[in-house]
Amino acid sequence: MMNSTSTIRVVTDSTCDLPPNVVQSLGITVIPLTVLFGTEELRDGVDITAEQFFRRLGREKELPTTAAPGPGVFRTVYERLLAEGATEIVSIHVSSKLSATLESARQGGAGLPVTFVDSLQVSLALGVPVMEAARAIQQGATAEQAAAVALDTARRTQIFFTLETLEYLRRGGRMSRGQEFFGSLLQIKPVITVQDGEVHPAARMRTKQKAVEELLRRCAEMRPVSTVFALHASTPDELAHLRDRLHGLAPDSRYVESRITPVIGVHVGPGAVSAGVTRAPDEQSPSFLPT
Amino acid sequence: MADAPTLALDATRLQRAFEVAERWLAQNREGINAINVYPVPDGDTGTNMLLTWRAALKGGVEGDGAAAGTYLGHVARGALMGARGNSGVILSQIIRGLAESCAGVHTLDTSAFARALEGASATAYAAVTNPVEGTILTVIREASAAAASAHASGEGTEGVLYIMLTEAFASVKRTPELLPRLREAGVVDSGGMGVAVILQGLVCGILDHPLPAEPLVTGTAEVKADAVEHEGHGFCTEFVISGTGLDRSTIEGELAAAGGSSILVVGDPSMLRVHVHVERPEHAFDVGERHGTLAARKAEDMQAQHEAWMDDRDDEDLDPSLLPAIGLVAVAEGRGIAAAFRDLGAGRVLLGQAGVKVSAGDILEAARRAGREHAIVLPNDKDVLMAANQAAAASDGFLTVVPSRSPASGLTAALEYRGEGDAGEVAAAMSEVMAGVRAVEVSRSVRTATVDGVAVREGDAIALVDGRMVAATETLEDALLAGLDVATEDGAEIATIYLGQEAPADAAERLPRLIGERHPDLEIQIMPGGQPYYPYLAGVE
Repeated sequence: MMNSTSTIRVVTDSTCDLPPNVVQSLGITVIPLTVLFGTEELRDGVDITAEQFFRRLGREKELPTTAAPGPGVFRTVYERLLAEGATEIVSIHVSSKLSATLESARQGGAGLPVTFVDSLQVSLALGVPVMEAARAIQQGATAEQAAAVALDTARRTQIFFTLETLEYLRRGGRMSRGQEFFGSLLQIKPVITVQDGEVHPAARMRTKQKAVEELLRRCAEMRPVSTVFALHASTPDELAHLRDRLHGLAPDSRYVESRITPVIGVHVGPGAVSAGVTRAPDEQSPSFLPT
Repeated sequence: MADAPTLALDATRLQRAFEVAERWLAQNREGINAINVYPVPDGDTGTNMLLTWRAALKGGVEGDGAAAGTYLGHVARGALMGARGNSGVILSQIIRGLAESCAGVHTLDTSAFARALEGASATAYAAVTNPVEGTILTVIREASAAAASAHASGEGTEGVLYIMLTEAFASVKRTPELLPRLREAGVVDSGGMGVAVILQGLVCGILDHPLPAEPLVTGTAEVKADAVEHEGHGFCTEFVISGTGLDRSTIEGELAAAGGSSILVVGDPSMLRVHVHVERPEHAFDVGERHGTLAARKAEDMQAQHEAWMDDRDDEDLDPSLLPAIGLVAVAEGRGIAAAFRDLGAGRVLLGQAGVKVSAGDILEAARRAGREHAIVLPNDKDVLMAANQAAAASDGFLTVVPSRSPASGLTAALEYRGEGDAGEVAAAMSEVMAGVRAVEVSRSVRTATVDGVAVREGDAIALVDGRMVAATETLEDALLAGLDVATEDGAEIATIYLGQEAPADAAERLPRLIGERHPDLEIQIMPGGQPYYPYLAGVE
């Protein structure tokens, strides 16, 4: 454990897509969700890496599914952290409207000093609030303040994905409404976003190139921003392109990049790329904020 | 010649004249259609003008009172709502100009009639964004100017009317001098001819003069149109006969014996194009097969055609509160294309067959059933654009036109459609993405001519890119490839090919490979379009 002085610990889940160096340096505990190929259970990012996952996805006939960790997994982790000296835990998770993870965490943490945060976000739109909460704790925030920072950061964060195909999202069932927006006849590169904790359609583009431009346009619309981020599923070249463009868009903002974790890859499919922003703090933001 | 020393046109006499003009236009409709075959046989100017004129007459019936001005006001409203096609829309503006010049007038004398014609011409010019000379506009302008100057120089009623009419036909004859496309195609302007025919009918009606026994317009010298109208019955049947020593009059006789009417046979002894209205199309095909090999067979149910431009949705259970704030209306020829528009959120698709253009009234009605607060319409055809604009002008800001000129660009625009938000912004976004689409249209030429500098023979496969002829080839595939070469010149990412009714059965299999060889980086999507006339339509983005 890197950060042995802090007595408040941050827990999240593997849908946060935070790169390993960030996780380590901020002392964040990441609980993996599960990817299932048939009945074969693999812990997200532990038993299967993104590299292995997307290679395997191309070979498998049947599409994999995903599952939240059980309450027992959370209980074990919380108890271990408390035994290691933590006095309080802030557990920040993927939108409760997309996954049962938070519900499982609440059950696992019953009776323990854990503050739960429903980020209503996913991927780095969850990851960035987790980072901010961990930083706030490093700077002396209480668990309550750190949770407020996480919630406020999540509120100011917007993520967009452009998909190669809607097929994975359709089969994964994570888009309850608005699917018909994309139609089914014309070949379309869907652009989706997360709004109020749910997946929503954002734009329908004819080509990948145009869809990527649309991601960047949407991100630029949200300036001024404090953080910009980008992800890719299986196309590192596109990530490099996004990195350059996002730097150009907001040269003074913090930049985070990562690779889409298998459990999200199940729903967005190979070739997906993502970009997002965290808007600068506003008058609604809590007064305790790390600089 | 009837004795008509002074002109005194009240509502009753005007209505009679309008009715005579309707009969005369109906008799010449086929001929006017026939000279409107460039560049593809969607020749429907005569039909569009006739349907517009009939809508005008119907509007007039709703009026009461004896004042000419009141009658014309009703006629103009009818025309406005029933106008279809470019020529029909301009005609409706001519009628509107007549009505506005005669507002409050009870009885028209020669002087008022001449002034009204000038008003009609001015209104028609003002209604068109970029007036083109050598069209219907030139004919109405020159005819009205001739009437005015004849009246000014002291001519009597008959003198004014005949001088006006003579100038109208002389003006029609001059249209190829003004419009190179007409000269290249070897025809006069069909819309101009239509308005001259209407003026002739009006003059006959005003002067109680009998109409000529034979139609005036027969397309080309060798065309003979059957004067008997068979509107709304049987099948409009068309085919091409190839052979040797084909004799037009023999074939015409046999078609008539087979029960055909509105017979039109054109061409030369090696290839004839046949158009006939007949109850049993196979009887007409039999006639053709006795003389040679048949191609391009087509038989359209005329009754169905009349009902073609209907909203494709059942309205029994329309609940307006369930409509989006901003509705989307698309005009489409072909079921595949209609389905694609619906797929992208068009609440109303005006689905039509060939031959009859959708009217401003149809569009307006569909718009009211598409959205709660606003509607956006995609005309998807340059000939529907004016009717759409007219519908928008009559909608009190309810309707916004996104001026798509092809289904391919219309579908790209539809991607930006949203049912909520600011209608102006949605329409602007739709128009903006449309600029990035190039439309390729592939058809077969029905005449030999030089168009846009491309020499085209009858029967050639032709490719147009954004309305400009770019190639004439032997096969449809070669024309498509040539069109795609031009459309992808400035770089392209994706081409969507819509297969028409006349596309070869194996096109969906063959095209991706054929196109892929020439454009390895181009994404290709093949879709059933079902459109008439164009075996292939393509949108390149």
